[in-house]
Amino acid sequence: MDERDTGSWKYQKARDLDLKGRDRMCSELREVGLIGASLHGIARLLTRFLLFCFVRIKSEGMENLPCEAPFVLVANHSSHLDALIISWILPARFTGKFFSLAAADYFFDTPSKTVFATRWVNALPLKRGRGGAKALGGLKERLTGGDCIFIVFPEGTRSRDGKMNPFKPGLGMLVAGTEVPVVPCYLKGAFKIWPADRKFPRPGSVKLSIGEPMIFASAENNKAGWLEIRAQLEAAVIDLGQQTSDEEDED
Amino acid sequence: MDAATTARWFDYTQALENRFFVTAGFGIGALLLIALLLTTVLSRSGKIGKERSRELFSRTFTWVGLVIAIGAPLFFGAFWTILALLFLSIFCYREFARITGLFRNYLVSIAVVIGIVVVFFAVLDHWYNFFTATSSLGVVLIVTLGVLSDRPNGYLQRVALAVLAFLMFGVSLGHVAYMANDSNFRSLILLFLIAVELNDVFAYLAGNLFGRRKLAPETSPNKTIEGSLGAVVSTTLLIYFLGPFVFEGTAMDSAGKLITLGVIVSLTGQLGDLVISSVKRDLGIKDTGNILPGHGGILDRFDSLLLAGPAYFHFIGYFNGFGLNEPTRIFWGGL
Repeated sequence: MDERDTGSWKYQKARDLDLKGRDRMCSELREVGLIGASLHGIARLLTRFLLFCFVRIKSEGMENLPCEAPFVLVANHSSHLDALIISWILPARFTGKFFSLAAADYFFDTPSKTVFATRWVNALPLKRGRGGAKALGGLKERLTGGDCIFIVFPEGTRSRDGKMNPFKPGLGMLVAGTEVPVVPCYLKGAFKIWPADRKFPRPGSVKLSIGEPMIFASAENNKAGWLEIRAQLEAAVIDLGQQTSDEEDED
Repeated sequence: MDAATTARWFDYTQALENRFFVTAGFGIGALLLIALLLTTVLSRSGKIGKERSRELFSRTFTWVGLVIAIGAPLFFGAFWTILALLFLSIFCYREFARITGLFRNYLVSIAVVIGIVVVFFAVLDHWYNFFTATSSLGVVLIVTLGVLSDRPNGYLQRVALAVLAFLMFGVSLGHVAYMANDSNFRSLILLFLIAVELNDVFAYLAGNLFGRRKLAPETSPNKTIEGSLGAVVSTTLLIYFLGPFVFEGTAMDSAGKLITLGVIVSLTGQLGDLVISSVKRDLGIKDTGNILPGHGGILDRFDSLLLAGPAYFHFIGYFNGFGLNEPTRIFWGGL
């Protein structure tokens, strides 16, 4: 008998089917359909319009972005604008598919912030602190099981002085032993525009450099493996940062 | 736009002159009040547990909300009725997409939503020829847009799901909405909704009272043959007695036709219920959503409309037609 199993369609119900209202918004299982993607698309355009008034955005290394989800973007974190700028630079066809991982205790603690974080930024809550691999299990499942893209700032918090802080190893738990490509990025100039100690941003220009994707399929899913991944990614992002400033010096 | 259409679309004073609509409105209101009172008495008496009484309350309150959500557009005019049914159709698709996983495929979802909007545009325009064409045009749109992503893997499955959804929600509920083009649309649609929703209730009650033999144990274990027959009898009687108020002086106003209509509505209503039950069984889920407290999803509540809509439409349409005296192709100036 001539059978063919394309294995390509799975009746996989929405992971957040049983949740509603704020529980759904605060869940790392939240999935985005046509309505959510449209809202996110509109939010992206509005963001661009607002940013356009006072920020010049340049990017290089776009060819390094994988064509298809899933992948993880890893960047340094120096202002609230970082996630918005990166999400603007990502191609429009990924709208609704990329999620910024945002601190649950900061971005999801009040209803209004929750709505902003989910509807405008398309953020998923990340529990900071000593949750360990358990806290990230849901996110890892999302990454390997679905077509999503994560924007991650492994420093864990915004830089207070413009210098990059050491990365936290949690990211390693997400990608260790998986085929998911991790793309290191360096965002330069965002700190000048909106440092942590200022209430409002000021005009300026930013540049996003996108490095080559790295895959950690052979990394061990234990503490040693996570630390190794952290070290490699940190080095890659620092390297990108160096290149960016070298080029500026040459200019 | 001519005066007749404006009046049909927006003039709510017509609702007050409609005896059937007003009487039925009061009747439903009274029923809900009685239900609320009964629930209160039951929960006060302590005969039912706290959990059960909370469930009863949320069920009843959801019914109140649903009656307002359905009654208000009907009251305010045909335009709002069509708009409300458009939203119902899209939300049915949303739930279907979320339980099947189709919602992850934006391109196909966009095709379905565009298809549904086009169906309802034809309805609003009162352009029957285009309305009949939209079912095939929608299917064409889905299969062609499905090609554009250039991902042949899984093409058949996702396109088949989308076509099923489009026909089941868009075209089907489009038929219900098309009745809004008749000058007597309030009575027509209200009778339909009352009959179909009470049909569910009759089946449940008759099943509880007399139910012994299972109807389709694998699909829906709680349904019984006795319940189903009880619903057919009760719904037919309901339409037989209410029908003359709706169809006064038309070709439908005859005992034989009303009895046939009752049997058709009852059977198709129950079949629609079984269709959605099969979908849920196949996917291994209990409810299609949780948007209606105490009921589950929108699809769980409105599943019986899906097949009964076109059946009711075509049976009445065969004898009476819809909106034959109303202007057609409204957006083209009314012909």
